[in-house]
Amino acid sequence: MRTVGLIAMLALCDPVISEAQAADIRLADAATTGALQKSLQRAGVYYSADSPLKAAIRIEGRIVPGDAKKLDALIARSNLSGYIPLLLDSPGGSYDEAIKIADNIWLTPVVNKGAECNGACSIIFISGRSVEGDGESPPDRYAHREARISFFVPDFDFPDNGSSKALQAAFQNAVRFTGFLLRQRKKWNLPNRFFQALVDKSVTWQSVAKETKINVIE
Amino acid sequence: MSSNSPRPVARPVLAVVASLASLFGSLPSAAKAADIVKMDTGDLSAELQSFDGKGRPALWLKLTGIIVKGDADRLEEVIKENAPQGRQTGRIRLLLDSPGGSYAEALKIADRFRLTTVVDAGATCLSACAVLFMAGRIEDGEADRHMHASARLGFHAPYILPPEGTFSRETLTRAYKLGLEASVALLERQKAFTLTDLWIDSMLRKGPKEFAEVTYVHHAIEYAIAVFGVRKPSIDPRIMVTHLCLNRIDPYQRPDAYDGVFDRRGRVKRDVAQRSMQYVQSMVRAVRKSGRRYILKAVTDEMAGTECTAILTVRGRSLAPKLMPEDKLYRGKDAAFYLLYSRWDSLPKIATQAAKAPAAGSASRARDEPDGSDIAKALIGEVVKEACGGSAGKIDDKSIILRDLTGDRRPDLVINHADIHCDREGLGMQSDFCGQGGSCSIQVYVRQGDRFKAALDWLGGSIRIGRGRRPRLSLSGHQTGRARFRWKSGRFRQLRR
Repeated sequence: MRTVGLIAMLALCDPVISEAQAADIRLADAATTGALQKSLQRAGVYYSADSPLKAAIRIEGRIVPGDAKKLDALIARSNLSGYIPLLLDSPGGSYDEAIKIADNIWLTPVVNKGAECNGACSIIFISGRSVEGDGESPPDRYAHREARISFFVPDFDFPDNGSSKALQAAFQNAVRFTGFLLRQRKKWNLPNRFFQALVDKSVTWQSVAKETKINVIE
Repeated sequence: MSSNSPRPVARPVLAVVASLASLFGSLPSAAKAADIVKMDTGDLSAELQSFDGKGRPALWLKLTGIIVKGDADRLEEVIKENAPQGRQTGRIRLLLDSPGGSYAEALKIADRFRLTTVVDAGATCLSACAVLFMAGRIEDGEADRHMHASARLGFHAPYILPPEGTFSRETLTRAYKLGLEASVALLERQKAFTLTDLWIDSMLRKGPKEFAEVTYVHHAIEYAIAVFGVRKPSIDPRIMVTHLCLNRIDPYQRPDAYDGVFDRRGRVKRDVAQRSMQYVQSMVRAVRKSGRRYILKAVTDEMAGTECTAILTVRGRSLAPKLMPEDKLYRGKDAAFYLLYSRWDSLPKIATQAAKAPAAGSASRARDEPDGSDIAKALIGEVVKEACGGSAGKIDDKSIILRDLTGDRRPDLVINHADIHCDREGLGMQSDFCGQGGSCSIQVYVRQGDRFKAALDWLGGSIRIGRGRRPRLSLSGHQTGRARFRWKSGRFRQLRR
């Protein structure tokens, strides 16, 4: 219910993106999966010869409305379960779609070497947590030291011009968006420094990685 | 929408958007600045004077009207004028009565001065004023903000009111970023101003035309606001101890916890009220009386190991509260404890004029008004309103006795709270002066000049009035036992058995 309300509120802030620019969501190839397993192993994730990392999903490109459904369909089609990494490489996009994905995520977000993850994508990234039986959900997200992640809100594709109502709405949506993140603060383990990164470009993800419990992979 | 279409940019607004300071709030630019004046101690109510205690008297200032840009400087001037040694001279207490104004200016004042903030009886503090109020502190991490129970305190999220026009994409994006900055500004000050997550969340949820108001005891507790002007409720000490403990513990941990307690009209839901009542009653049964002390040790499953030990010591006629461990959040002295005694579902609004008669006819002599029924009627109205926490309510005629009890041939007034029916649901139907155990206050007001004065407050049961000029009052209650009183030398004195 809460998410639906937020989606309605954030609608105005959604970028105008054509289908051609939509994100590419598919299973990662065997080579990528193999390399990822090695990276995660170095970060302390345990894989044995009997139970290797079987699959990973990757999202590339801008996040657009409908991506959450696409992701769900892919998971259902591939019959995936268990510990599945979600490789992110996206300049951002629709915040409400990102929140839809983030709200239901059970995948483990990973931003690989050289990949970027800005704005809306960073919301998916930061929502990563391992959901355990008793409801405890410690943060579970991985980023390569050289990944380019920015929580700073990128320039939106706002319309070329808008009325004073649109201006007001833009301000209010931002306030409510912060309120939404604040409510997720405990669940997603977001320290105050994380919120500073939203408004201050100079606050890098690496500088908040420790407080935000982002696992850095090599 | 195409990129080569002309962009009619309203230039002045771009400038406005560039500066946080002039963006927030709802003011026409010509709004008059807030009035900031020094208050003479003599002009303060007794309650406010008691804030100073034995230490060096504080500098009392009062801010009224809309907060606009430049008010921080004006406040500084007033402080310099009245306290030549600057901020170092004792405490500065700021009385607030303002509908709001510039959010950025309120934050500026809050950042620059370390103030005790107070919203006095009948005063209003909304929007930006409420943000300034929440910055009241002694030092970082120690809140010092006080509201009178009859004050109105309302919060909402910052917003902008741009002039009509068309704005460029750049301006829209900037407004979005400003929105983020405005809310993050609160988070940055969270520790310094002791702002709770719950408070920030509640205020950010409210749009320009709505307010999150401090109406219930748990609001004040959650937001760490001390409330004064709350009369110690005349209820069974056991119930007081129970509420003291329940309110002391995180209200969200209570079995009747918050979510879903209120219906759409803000009333307490019937089933929740029922559950809460049973719970309170079970707690009340656990209160132990040891000599003149009442002790409750509550360790319950619901509260997962939470322990609350409260001791009420009877000293003379009054109950001295002691809660362990002491709650550091509250600095409102006894007032805060009285708040903690209160029922969780309403902030007992004190009717400051409760015992006063209407001004009309005040010059006429008492014997010109043989029955004083108008005055009594006004007082009854006030009492019912207070008993119902401001909601409408009714009282059965049988519970009102108008009869001379003091021998001055003018009728005095007895009100039994048991027969007050508030226009609220569930638990809220009964008077706030009733305990969950079913005991209600019986209040006796005596006529003095052109007004009634509260003279006796007895918990529970029934009252019987004897014969004669100064009749004997026999009061009884199943928890408080029996007592008899008679008017003598200006007060009701208890008669020995």
